[in-house]
Amino acid sequence: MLTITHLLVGAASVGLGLQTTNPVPILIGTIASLLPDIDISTSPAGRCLPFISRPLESRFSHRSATHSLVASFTLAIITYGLWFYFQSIPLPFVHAFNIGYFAGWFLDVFTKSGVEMFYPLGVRCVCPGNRNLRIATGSPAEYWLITFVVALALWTFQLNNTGGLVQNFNALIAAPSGVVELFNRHGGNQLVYADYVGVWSGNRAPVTAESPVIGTNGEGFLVVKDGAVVKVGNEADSTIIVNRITGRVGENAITTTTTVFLDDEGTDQLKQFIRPFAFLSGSLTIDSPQDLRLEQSAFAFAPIRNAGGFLVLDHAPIESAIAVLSDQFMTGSVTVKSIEVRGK
Amino acid sequence: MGKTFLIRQVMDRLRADGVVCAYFEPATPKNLLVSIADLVGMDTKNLEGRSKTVEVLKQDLLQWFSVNQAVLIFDDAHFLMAQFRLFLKKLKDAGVPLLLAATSPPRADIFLYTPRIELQPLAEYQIRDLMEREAINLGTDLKPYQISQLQSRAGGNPMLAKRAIEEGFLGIQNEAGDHGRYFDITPLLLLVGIVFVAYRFIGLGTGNQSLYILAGIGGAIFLGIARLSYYLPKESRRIG
Repeated sequence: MLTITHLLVGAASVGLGLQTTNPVPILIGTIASLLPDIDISTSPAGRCLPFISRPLESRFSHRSATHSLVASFTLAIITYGLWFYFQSIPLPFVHAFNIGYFAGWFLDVFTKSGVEMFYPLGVRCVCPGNRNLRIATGSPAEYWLITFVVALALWTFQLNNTGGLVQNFNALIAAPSGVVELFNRHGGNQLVYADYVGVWSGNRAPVTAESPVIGTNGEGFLVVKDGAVVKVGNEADSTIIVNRITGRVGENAITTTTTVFLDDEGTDQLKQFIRPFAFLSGSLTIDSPQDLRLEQSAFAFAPIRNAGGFLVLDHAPIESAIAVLSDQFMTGSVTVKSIEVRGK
Repeated sequence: MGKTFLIRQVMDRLRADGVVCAYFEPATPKNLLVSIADLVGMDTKNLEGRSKTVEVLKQDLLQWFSVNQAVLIFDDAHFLMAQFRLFLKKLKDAGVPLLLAATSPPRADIFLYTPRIELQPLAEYQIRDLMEREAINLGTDLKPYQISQLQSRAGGNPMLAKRAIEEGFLGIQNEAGDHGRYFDITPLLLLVGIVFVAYRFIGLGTGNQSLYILAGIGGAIFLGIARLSYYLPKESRRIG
């Protein structure tokens, strides 16, 4: 194969394998894809490292020892060993090197002469079996391959630039599991928005909106819509039943959680946590549950529920929770989840 | 060391030891019988001056070998006709020492009847050594990197190694070799498909809908490609 084909395949395979657009690992993978051809001194790698290529070419046939699983495995042991010993080497660089090297020699399986993949067995692995369908170096078929790999590389980089294959796929199928994954990945330090199309469960009125996700509940999400906590999903207790839901990562945000223990106390201890995006979760025993006035709305999730002798809170906005519980003395523990938006 | 080289070496050694032996290459049964008869000094014509028939020659040779000894060596024995191979079987029964050299012979008659030595492909260093000597013999100045590239066409076969050097000497560009050590890994695509299917079950088990769908699509693509690969035209047994 031509050097340009190796370079392109190295770059595309690292982009696909690592789901990155970082130029450093891509460059490492690209260079590593040229290394298998070090077994002849006229190759780019052979010219750069003649003290390695000359002994190799005088002993091995082309595309044998260096184009094998043994070579890949040996290099993996060395490079991951170096990474283990010198922790300063970033792991993606090591991954990129090994992916690039493997892609570099595996590409030659499609050439007429094949590679000794299972060296030292001596069999030459090819694909497909018919030599007339395999690619000769510099042939028109190779230029078709280059065109295909360029397209693949561009598509890979575009995908990676917009969140990677899985995220793009999740956006395509618009299923709640995609937003779960996005929220799990970015929810710790960024605000994640759910963009959904569905109907209100109360009156089946259509709704299309984008709201920040504050947490998960069952297989759905809790989002803040018009100041109220709303459950979005496909479960029976969802406030909005969605047909399509996709996620996007928004502003930088720090999520902190604090556990507050209450021992027959009022709401004073909770007041210090009042912020726009602060929510209470947990369970509390209260003195007079019969005095509680809990709003039941078909257009909002019930973040505070009276479960007999105790209250269950699930992402209850702190101000409304304090208002409801203002005359009560509470025992138990609640977690205060506070999301502080820090801008882009 | 190839089969032809080996049997010629054996023949030279036998002759040096004073053993009567003869080397034959594939021909028609009549020609081969006549050649053997000539070797042993048997008359190939009858009393009327006509050439003996094949059956008569066979009978006469069997009779001759029942009282005399000679080693018969056949190169490329896989090209011998079945009729003649059956005659060789009779000779073997009569105690005639036979040496047959064949490439991928059929698992039948004389080839099953005689003890077998399988020649393994030569080691890389032996092939390299042979190619370097051949290059010197031809007076070429092939560089090590060129020999390294040509060596990939030999597949451990000394005859092909020499041919590759000749091609290099003549400047013939021919990437693919004619040896039989190619292994088509297209069915391994099935393995990739199986990995995707396994991931699909992981997605199903863990409730990860996107993994389930993505792995399902990947599996379908790879299993489809593997299935399509069965319909690719097979390689012709002819050159070109």
